[in-house]
Amino acid sequence: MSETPLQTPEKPTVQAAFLPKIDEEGAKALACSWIESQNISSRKQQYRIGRAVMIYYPFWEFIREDGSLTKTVYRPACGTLMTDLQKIQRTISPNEALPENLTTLPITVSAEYYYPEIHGIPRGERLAAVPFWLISYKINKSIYMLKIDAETGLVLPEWHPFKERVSWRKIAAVSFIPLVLISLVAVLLHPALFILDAAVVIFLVYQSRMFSLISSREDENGS
Amino acid sequence: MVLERAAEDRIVETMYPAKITKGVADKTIQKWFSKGIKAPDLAKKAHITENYLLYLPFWRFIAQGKAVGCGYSEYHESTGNVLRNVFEELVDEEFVWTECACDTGKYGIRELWLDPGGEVPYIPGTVASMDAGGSAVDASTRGREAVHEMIRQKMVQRIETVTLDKTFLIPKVFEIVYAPVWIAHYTYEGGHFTVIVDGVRGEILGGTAPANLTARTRFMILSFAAGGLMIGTALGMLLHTGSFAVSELVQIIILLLGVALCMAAYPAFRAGKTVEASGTMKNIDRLRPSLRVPKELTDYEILTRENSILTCPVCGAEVEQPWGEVVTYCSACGKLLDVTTDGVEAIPHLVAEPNLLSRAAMEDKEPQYIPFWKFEAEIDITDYLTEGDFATGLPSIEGKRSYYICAGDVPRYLSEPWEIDLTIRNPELQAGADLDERLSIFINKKTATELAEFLYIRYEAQKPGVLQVLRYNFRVSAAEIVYIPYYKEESSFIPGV
Repeated sequence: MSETPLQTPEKPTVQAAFLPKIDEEGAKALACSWIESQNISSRKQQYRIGRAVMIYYPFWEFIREDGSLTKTVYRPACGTLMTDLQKIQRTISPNEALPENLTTLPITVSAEYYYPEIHGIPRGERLAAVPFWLISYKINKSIYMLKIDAETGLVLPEWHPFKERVSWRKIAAVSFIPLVLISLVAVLLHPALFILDAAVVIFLVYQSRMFSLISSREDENGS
Repeated sequence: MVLERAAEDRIVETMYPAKITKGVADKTIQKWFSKGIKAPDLAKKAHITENYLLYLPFWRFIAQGKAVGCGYSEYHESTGNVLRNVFEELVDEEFVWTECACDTGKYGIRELWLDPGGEVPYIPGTVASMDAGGSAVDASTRGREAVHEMIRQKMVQRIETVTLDKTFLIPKVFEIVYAPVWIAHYTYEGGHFTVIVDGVRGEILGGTAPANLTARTRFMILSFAAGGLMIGTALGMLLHTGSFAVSELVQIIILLLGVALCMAAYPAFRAGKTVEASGTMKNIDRLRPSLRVPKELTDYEILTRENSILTCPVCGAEVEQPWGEVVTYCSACGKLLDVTTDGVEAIPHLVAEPNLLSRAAMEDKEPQYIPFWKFEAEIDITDYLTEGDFATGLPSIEGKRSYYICAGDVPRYLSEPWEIDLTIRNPELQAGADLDERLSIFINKKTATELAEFLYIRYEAQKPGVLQVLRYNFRVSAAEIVYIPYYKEESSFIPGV
């Protein structure tokens, strides 16, 4: 066997865990209501909820005394590309009775890594597991993902489509129909009418910013 | 070099130290916001919610690639003549293969963008890193295949029709390298976006951003206006009873082109919601979740898993594999052992005594004993073709012969002429006393066997004439390690056999 380098530290173990309060069906329902609230798609059948997987992320829990306040700060104990995990907050303490078969992502960051940014007198430090539901959903052939905190029910979106302020159908119609009609009439009556085509195009391009704001104005007026 | 060991053994882990601070990364991102066809108010309205440093692991395999390629390219002249250029390509250079060892999900980072050099040892836990998953053995296999392909691509650059194609590689390094990146998540008008900045050079590796809405609207308007103009004009001409400069067929083509333009423009400009920067994030559209759950072995997998404890086949003692060597000595019986994933094989060895002539000439000097693999091999040529004048005074080395491959830590530019010399001469070796201290052996039996075959092909390729076809059978009947004495004389080495 090859020799193990001397610097390898002992593997830390999870000492506490936040227990999940939301089951898979509840997580999917939360995901559906979030997607619908974003108004990403106009019809329900345009999105499809996929698999939901629960995973425990390991976090370092630092308890620090800062003057008269005692603060608890959580920092991720494994590297992650996911959003909104760097500074999660909790209102209750994790449970020391760990769930059966608790498996977290591998712990790749030691507690000492965060010491420079955590202030106050240290009063405690341990590894805590936080459960998340990872749910994939599909909109128009693209797959997206949501994270739902399985303890608090908070929805943490990843990269997702968002409703733009324009109506592309209106823009296409307004650009297409007048040009077809004017060109048709110009060919049938007199070619000088093609000048009208050019004028319409210049007007539409010049007023394109107006078009891009139509929806936001309607939303502002309507809301 | 532990390429043939089980995945349980630790692979060398190094990392590139981050040279970009958070402030510099922020400034780079702000500059990126105002470049390209992004939303014009992005720099003002984007709110960076997170910006943190993360180290991504990559498998890296560095190997010396060697290849012989023969063939020809034909050029057909307008007069009907066919000119044939024959080629004989020799490749001998270093190749580097990298692959991301973690799941980067939607970011689609596949290969390492940094060149070797400047790495420091990686100490687990001291930086925020992603976990390197997957089997090291599988990764090294993929690396070997990829490097073989790279060697082949290099070899056949000028050759259209390949008649001889042999690639070999000498593994140098297989390691995990951690590269730093700054991950910045930001929001803009309800949307979530991400930018990744290289933590060493400070360049944007890739990212998503909302595209310039006004520009897209204008392109959409112009496309539909052009399409509408074409359709309206074509319909007018088709409906009008008079004659026009263009025929009816052209009128129909204009109509169809107008329809095609509108059908292409609508999804093209409507769907361009985000912008990806150039760089390593090639698969950014594939937004699959980046999830890797630690795999637990089933009972069947545990039962059928190979035992990774290695034992000496002679005395049964457990084999200690010092880091960096692939052929080692049993600590109990002193036998030389070739260790691979398939097991442990005892290799006979011999220390050659310097001959009388060299002892007399180098009376006051002590030789260095360089380890060589010695293969008893037989080459049987079945097909051979060269172009040009191939008359040569060089001896033929086909048939039965001993092949010598240097297994010590000697630069290849020194050891390759020794190998050719010993293989041609096949000197008589007298067994001498065993050595107290032996040089380490850096090439295992499998690699050395491939190098022996390459030695033969390179020898044939370097003869006058352009080699085109060479088919042969290469059979190795015995292998041993031979320590051959070499005397150092100023800037050269004199063989003692």
